Amino acid sequence: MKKDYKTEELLENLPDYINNNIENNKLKEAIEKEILINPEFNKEFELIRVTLKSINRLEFSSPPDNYFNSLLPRVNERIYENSENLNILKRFASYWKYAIPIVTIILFFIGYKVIFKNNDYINRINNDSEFVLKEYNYSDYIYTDTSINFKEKTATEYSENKDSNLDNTYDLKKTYNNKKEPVKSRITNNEELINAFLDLSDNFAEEEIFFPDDDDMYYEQDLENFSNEEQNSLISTIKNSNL
Amino acid sequence: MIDNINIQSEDKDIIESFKCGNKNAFNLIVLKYQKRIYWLVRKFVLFHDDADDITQEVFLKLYKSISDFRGDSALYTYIYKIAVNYSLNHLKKNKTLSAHKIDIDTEVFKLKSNEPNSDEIYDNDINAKMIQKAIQILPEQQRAVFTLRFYEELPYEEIASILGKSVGGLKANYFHAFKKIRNYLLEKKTVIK
Repeated sequence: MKKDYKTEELLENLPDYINNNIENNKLKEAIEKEILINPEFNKEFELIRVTLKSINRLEFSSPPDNYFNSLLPRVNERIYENSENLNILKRFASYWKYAIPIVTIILFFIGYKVIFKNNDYINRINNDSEFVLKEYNYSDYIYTDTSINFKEKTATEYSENKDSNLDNTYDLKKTYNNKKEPVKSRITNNEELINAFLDLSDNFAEEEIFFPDDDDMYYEQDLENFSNEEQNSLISTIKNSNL
Repeated sequence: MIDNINIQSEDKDIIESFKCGNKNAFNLIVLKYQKRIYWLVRKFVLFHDDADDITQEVFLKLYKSISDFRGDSALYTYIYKIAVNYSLNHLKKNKTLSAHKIDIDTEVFKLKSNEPNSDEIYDNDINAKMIQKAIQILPEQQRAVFTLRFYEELPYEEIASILGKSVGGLKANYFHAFKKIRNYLLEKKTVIK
């Protein structure tokens, strides 16, 4: 005779059968029959019955006394806290609506400036040798501050104190920027000789060579110690060198 | 009519009153359903502290969403679904945590029998702990079916609509849940009477 239910199907209904939760009589009969004729099925039935009985003997422990009396106030407290948090969030949301675009624009602007400032700097280094010289050779003497006003002020102070200032470095700079005269062909006194040296130093500067501080201070005095012959010889050597 | 509601009033009247701005109507809903929801959640998560927290969450969620409740189903079914979802989420989140929680001496179960002798108390205490652990190590789906069918005695069709599973699959889950509990108890040589 063909069985109406597979053994697996009957097994799945065993817990409900034990708990008397099966209304389908045909299914109930099929389970009872299987218990009688199938020892393996009977064993499963017994084990599940005992397990169910064990669980049924236990019940959950009670919550603390007055728990249910205090639940409503705590629920209301959470609702209040939640609504407060929502209000704060709403307030922040209204600020962020404006703050986010503004911050984005500022960051974009800063990024733009940084990128293009670097590009500009690189371009100037590549294309503007004068800029390079200024940056690398004169920085210690002139650019103690990047402010243009400061540079102009420094220049004025230097001009005013030129007579008393033995350091002619600023003149040297001025010469570099404003005067592009060739070295004079004939030099008859110390002043002309110094000017020739200044022009010469310009040429050195273009080759990124510069006098150290200590030498700057004394080169004028050194020249004065030369005899006329030595000076003329030196000048002609310089002229012949085509520097 | 709506202003004269009390805990005995129909759910639809209480909800209508709440929607009209009577905040006290929500308190009536909490008072009316707090025990049923607490015990439902407790059977899922076993521990009182977790059940307390989830019960509050359920009512908080209800407070936020009750304005959208259209009355297609009974209010209890609506709250019930929220509670089951929150409990299942809790089980998912605390899968590893809850397995260790058994080591803490927390009383989850107690004996139903009134005056057992001392041997019985001892045996049942061991049984209670082992059964508690056996339930805790059940896979999430089997635990959900076990709770809803065994403790809540819900019909499979209703469980299927809550969990979004087929009835056939749920029956298999229910049987395997018992089998796992039984195997665990046998493995631990727990006294099964």
